[in-house]
Amino acid sequence: MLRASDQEVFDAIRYLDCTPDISDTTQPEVAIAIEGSRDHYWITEDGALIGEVGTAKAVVEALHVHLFRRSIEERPQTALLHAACLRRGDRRLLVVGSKGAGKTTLALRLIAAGYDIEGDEHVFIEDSIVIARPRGCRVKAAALPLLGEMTKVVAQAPSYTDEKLGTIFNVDPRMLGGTWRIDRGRADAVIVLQPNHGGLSSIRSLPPMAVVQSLMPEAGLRETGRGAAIAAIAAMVGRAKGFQLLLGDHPGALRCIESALVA
Amino acid sequence: MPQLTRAPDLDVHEVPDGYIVYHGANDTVSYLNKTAAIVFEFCDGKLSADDIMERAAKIFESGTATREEIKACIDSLLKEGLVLSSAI
Repeated sequence: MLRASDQEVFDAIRYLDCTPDISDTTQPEVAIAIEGSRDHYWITEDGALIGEVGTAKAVVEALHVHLFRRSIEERPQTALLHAACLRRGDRRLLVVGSKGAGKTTLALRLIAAGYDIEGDEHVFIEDSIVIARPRGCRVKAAALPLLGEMTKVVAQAPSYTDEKLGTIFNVDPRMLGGTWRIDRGRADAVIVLQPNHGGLSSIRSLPPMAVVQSLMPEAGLRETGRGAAIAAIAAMVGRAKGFQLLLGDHPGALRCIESALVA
Repeated sequence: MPQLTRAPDLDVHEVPDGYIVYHGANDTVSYLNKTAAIVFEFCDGKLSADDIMERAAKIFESGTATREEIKACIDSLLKEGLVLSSAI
């Protein structure tokens, strides 16, 4: 729960809004408060000081880092994978790709096509089970022209402007008509993206070993317990079907993913 | 003839098409296909490279792996530190 006494900060931290339904209620709720005004803010968590910054933007940056660290610390035995996590009926798929591969844009297209998103950036993997890290869909302004009918809705979402990345919108998937519920469960398909921007989309099966090799650069492993984390990734992949999606046109990509899920 | 034995402290994880091996001492991950996985399993500290090549060649009688490929597997496992060579 976030609380702010200053209107400028209140408006700024809307960029961090994140209120999915989460089935895993083992994580305790904490209260984060931002007190102060203008050029000095104190950030506390359950009454304990965790940061002091000078601007509303710095509050957002400090909280962004703090919340990410917190989510990692709350799950010490897990691997963290850079992947979007979506469901189609009772099938769960992970979409893995490096930065700039088009993962979030594709995820939004999937939402518009009726998929339910759980998370667009990270999933935790423990044993063979995955759970998405709660976070709104972050869409760069540069991607707006690719979103068609969703552009207007996305452009109204809370935003943050980064010097290097430009403006980024924090999109609650429900703004696009989808549901937003995060459950723990098995991945049925792992789709590894290979960018083919401007070209056509195609898909092929990928054997488990190749899937793991593709995932490892996108996996965050802690200093300790790496063997267990790799075991979790291997177990998850071993139970899922793997695919490589050459990501070009979005209509083609959606057809490819649909065919992969029924395979 | 030196015997071949699997290195200690390896985390070995099976996937349908082979093994993922994490070597904690080097902080490295190795990927063993089915041929390499079978050769790796033979490295139990009791067999020499020649013994392993002979036994593995029998398993691959159908021709999925030649003696040269098996030797290349052994050389690769040694090079990556997943298998150690010890004198009798």
